[in-house]
Amino acid sequence: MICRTAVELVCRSLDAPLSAGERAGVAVHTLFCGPCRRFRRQIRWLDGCCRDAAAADPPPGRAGLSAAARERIVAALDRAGGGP
Amino acid sequence: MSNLSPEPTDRPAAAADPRGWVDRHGDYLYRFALARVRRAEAAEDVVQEALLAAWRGRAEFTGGASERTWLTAILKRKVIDWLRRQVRERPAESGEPDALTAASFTRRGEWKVPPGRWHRDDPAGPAEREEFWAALHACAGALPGRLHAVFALRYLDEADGQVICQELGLTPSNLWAMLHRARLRMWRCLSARWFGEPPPEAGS
Repeated sequence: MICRTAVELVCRSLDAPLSAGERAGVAVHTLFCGPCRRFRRQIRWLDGCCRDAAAADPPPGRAGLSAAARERIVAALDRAGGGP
Repeated sequence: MSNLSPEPTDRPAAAADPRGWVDRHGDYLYRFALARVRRAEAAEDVVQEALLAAWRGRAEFTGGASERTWLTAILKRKVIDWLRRQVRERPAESGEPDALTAASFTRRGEWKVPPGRWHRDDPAGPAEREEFWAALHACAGALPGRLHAVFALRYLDEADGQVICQELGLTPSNLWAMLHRARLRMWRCLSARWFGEPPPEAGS
């Protein structure tokens, strides 16, 4: 198995189960290929981060609704009968 | 206006109070949306859609969950719908092989430049975490529109894989190919931005 294929399968394994043959191929390849082992570690770590980020509160930051956007939203709610 | 006040503590909802929703939760909801749709205008639109939907569906809110939790759940559905539209309505990528993949591997399929060691550990402490999240979101934001939408959906939409494919009009192979491209870009971007390694590709 070449690296490009191993990388593709490692990525796919994050989203769908690999076939037994594919799993075996990746296992054998990564046994002997340090770069692909490293890639797999890193991409799995990244996957974990993305899951955490998806579940987390948004970063506090300074972003917020602009005054104009607030007015638009309140006006739309008013029109829908949600006003005072 | 409410940027200056501390985040209001979450509370169970009393009577439906849409203006209060905007005041108490507008910024939070906006940031939630912005992190996933990446554009200010789109984030404002989905927040507006969500609040309107919440108002129309207010009878269903029994007050069991907190107000913010309930509104966020509605917003999440609107964000998912928005992301799905991005995938369905934008033109598909050309069928050509992915440029980044081609640039990363030799014709024989070996790494041109092997992945570098990451020189930073997991973010430690709130300041590092905030910096890391900023890098993560910046990298996601740099993805081409359709790839970004597929990638964001992957982590946001808990639906079954088949349902996701159906909703997006993609075969599983299409979906995996897009996710593969997105992941490689995310990996490369974060390698550069956070972990301090230059992109492992000869001559970008």
